Amino acid sequence: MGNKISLCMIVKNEEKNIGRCLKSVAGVVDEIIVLDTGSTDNTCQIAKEFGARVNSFLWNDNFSDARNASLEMATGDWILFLDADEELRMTSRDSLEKLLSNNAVEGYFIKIINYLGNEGWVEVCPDLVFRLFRNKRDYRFRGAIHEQIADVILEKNNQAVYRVAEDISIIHYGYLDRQIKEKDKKNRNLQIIQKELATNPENRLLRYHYGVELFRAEKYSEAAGEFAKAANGIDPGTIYLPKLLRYLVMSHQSAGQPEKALDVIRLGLQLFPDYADLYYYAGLIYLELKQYAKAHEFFQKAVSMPEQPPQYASFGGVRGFRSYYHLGQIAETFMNYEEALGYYIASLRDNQGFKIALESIVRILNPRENPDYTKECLSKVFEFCTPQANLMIGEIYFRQGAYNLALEYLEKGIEGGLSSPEIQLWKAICLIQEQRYLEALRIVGNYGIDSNLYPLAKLNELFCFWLQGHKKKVRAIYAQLKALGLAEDTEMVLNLFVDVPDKQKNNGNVTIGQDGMALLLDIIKRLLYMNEASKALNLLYNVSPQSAGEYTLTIGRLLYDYGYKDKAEIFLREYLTVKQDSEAHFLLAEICQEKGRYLEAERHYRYALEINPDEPRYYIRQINLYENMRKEILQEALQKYPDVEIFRKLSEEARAT
Amino acid sequence: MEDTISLTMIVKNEAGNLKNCLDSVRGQVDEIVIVDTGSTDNTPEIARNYTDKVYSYPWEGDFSAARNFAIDKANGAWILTLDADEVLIPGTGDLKLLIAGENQIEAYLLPIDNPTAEATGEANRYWVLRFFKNNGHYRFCGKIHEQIVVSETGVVGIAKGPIIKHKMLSTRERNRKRGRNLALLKKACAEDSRNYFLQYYLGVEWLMLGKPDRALPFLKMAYHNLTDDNFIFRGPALRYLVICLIALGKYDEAICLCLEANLRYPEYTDIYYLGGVLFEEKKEYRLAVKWFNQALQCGTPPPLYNHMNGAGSFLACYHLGYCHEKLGQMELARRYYERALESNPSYIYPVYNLFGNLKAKHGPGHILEYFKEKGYLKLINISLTTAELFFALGYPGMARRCLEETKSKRTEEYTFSLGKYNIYSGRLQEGLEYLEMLPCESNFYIQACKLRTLAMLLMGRFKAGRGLALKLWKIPPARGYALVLIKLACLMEKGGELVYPPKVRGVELLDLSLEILNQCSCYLPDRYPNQQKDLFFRLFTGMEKIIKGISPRD
Repeated sequence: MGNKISLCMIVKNEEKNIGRCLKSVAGVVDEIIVLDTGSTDNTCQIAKEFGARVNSFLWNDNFSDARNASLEMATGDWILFLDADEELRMTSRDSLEKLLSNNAVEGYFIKIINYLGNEGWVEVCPDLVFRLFRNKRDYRFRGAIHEQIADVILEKNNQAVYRVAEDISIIHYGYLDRQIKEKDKKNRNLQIIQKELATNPENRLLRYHYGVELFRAEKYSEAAGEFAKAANGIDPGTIYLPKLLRYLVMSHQSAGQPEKALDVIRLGLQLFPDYADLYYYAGLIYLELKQYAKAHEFFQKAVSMPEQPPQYASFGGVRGFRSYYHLGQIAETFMNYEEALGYYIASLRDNQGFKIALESIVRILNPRENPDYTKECLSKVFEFCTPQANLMIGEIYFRQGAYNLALEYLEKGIEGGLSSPEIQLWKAICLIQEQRYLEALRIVGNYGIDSNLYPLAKLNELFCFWLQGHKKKVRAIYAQLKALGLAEDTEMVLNLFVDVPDKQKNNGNVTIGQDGMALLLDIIKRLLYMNEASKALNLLYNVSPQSAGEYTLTIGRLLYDYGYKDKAEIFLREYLTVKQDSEAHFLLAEICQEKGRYLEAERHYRYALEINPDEPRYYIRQINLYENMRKEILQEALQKYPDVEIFRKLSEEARAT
Repeated sequence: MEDTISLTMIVKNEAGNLKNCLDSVRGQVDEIVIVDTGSTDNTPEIARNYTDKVYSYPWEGDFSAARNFAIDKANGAWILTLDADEVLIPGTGDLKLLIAGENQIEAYLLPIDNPTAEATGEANRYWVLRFFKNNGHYRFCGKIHEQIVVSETGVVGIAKGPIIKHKMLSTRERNRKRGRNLALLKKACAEDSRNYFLQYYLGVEWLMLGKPDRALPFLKMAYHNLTDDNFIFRGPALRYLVICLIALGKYDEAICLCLEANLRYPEYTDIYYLGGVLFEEKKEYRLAVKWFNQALQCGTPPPLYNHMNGAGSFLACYHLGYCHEKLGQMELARRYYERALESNPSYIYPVYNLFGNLKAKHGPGHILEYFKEKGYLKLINISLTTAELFFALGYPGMARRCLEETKSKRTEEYTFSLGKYNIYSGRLQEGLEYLEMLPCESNFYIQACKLRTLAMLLMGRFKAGRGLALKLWKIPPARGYALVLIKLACLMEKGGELVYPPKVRGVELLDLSLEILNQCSCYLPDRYPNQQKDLFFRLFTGMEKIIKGISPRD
């Protein structure tokens, strides 16, 4: 038997991808058959340049028909199937020769690596696909969609043996820009599959694919139903069973049925006790159910799993950065910050592009209050050597309100050549926060009226002058902005700057809507950073109670975060006269505890817990309170009765915790 | 005279019970014969209020002799035997109707319920031959656990009613009777070692005395040797044998027995139930679930089966809830707990589990709403239990709201609890009003006075508080509390330091003071902010001072 390979492809409008695909098979396959189902771009031309035999095919909504047509034209001994958005990778042509020379094997599964573009980083998801098989007359595809040939071959030749191909893999780029094409494809696919399933209700694989399409169409309950049907009575050795189980779990979870999902996971783990994804999803579900101990247990299991075989199609990060991240979240919920940091660092080590973990690390270190400490800690674990890295960390500092650190790193990024109007504006804001008004003004003055950042720049310019007390300049810029045409809300906020002199005027008659309040709160935050609490509150007192009322809690919290505990207390108490809120009680409890008003603190913790018993922080802090109270009483006892043994013992114990 | 019925009884010192028994047979019997075996109370007098036929009989340690003597004095066509601590449950059947038509039946087995816990409706049901023709064929045999022996087949009928209810004895009475029975039984067994009925009874006595190891051989003998002809004994022997094995921890043997019994008596609910309990003990929850579900399906077994009330309903549901919880199926567990509660609202244990189940999923506020919706809180015992749970968790306001939903008759416990929770949730005036309703004789009086004093102190009514504390002083058991409260009132009103009168030792007051302090920490007024804040802190610090004032050297 010879070893000629025919590459068969069906294409439509793939001029961007097909070149890469055909280049990867050059010198490997002996003939290329390309069936075009209606391209209107250069696809056919490019294919011809690579030496392909290109033919037209009238598309009839049936993938198998198209593929089988290409099979008809193949003259090789072996058929290799690829899609235009795929690429073949192998270590050498020899490995392929070895596969083809094995007379016992009828077909090969090849490892495929799917690249998914998501949230700013690329993920990797491996799988196994049946793409290489002997060219025989009765081996033909079946199924209008998700067309299959592996089981067809087994039916025609029950002695057929399959193997997994070593040293070869396929890279699939198609999912990266799929989002746009998805919508119409989804509905079309659903209809096709429904029709086919009606005539082939026994076909499990088809039902599985139907479930997948339903899942993609976000019909999660129905998807779960189909997956369950497909799984019912299935042979446990079926190669796609792990994926089926995983989809079933995800469907139940997305359909809001966490207990059912957990039942499936339990079952799945009996069959595949090393399947990391199942542990991961269990962790996610327990996290949702706030059963933190269980969630922790399962995420730990997930990271301890060995490398996953390709048929598990294990989602990237499940054994690494994702699970570590969630473990960090759990630790943070329970105020175990050291532990949380450890997990976030582990997460980042596994995937350096996982920005969320870095943001979490920074947040715990609290760069605004502890800039030097934050810098030192980060430098022990990471090096920000490229301008991009500096910019990234600078942006994170900026968003977390640590302006002096942000300034340092933004400047490094800028020096490294990465500047943009937006970055410059951030730098300007940092300068304002650091009270380097002149430098800031130099930057914000440079924005032309046509720039989309012009209003923000002007706003900051106004803010600058206002801080310096230049009333005339403030009015001038206000006029400029007004001429632009402002939203009513924004105008009301700016009014506060213009009409409010440094003298305190508590009129409380200005009404501001939601957007305006958001802007005002941002300004208040910046003023608090600069230790200008009175300026901030003065602005606030002019706002009407109706507008400001619902923000009382937010402002109270802001004041607390920036260290104005007494003022915060006033706001929080006022809020509580209107609404019973657990966070308000909790913050008050914290303030009372810090001031040593223990009984009051205890009362507030209890109220907080009555309203929201699911918050671990409240319990932990209440326990801390009791520990503090105990320490105080012991101290008092020791003072009064220095010779009583048990007080000393208890005191030492208390100090040890 | 074919349908006249005579009640025959032997009694001794049953003055407390006799009236209830005799009242309950009114209209069912035509004649009453009472044989007194040596009462030292006024039992005979009470008996004479109901019948002339009151005889004395010297006690010789032979129950049968006494009973047969009573039968001889009866003139009715049929005889009904009862004990003084039994009653016929009204509305459960008519003896006259029973004997109206049928000529062939000469004796009837009647159901008897033996309660194991009065409040929760738990009881065991047996079948006893107590109603038979007075034609001289039927006499009692056996010195103890005397029985009517019927040798002919086909003449014994099973009556669904009337149902006899045995009074639940106090522990002391029960133990006394057991002691008496044990001695007699041992003797009788020694005299007649082939009497398997006696073996059964002896086994049961040992089991009830908490000695399953001694019970085991007797129960085994009884079960293996009694036949289905005596099913009213074999059935209970089986059940007790299983229970005995469970008590001895011989789970595997018990399971084998259950499996064997199940084949033979597939409708016997209690076997399924006990099997479930066994698997549950072995932590094999899936199997336990299967068995309990079977028990549920069977429901109440047919007549003659010795049955533990609830084994086919609320008890099985309760265990099912527990097993499902262990399997992590919280939703299913919740539904079974609810079913248990709905089958028998008097059996309140599922309330605790249900509460825990719901709390794990939602907050305490949700539990309150949920119970309200389901109507559970309308029943006083569920409402009181739930309120206790809320209070234990530190939510007195919710405890109060629980009780406010109850529609049934208000008891003293209810009034006290409502008053207590009102006070702890800051509604001092309302709380006082409730507590003031309790009379001096009430069990709750002292606690109520304590709370009232605290409430008054919280309202700043120091004089009134002191006055009430002085009232408490007059009640000897409450003296300690009174002292502490008076001190507290002084501290709160005037501040300053503490001085103990030289005769009083601080250490006696320590526990009481700690108790009061503990209770104070449960205080959580409903509305925030509230007026009594300062007073509360003064009270709390006052109590702290009192406690700190007690020297550790005492």
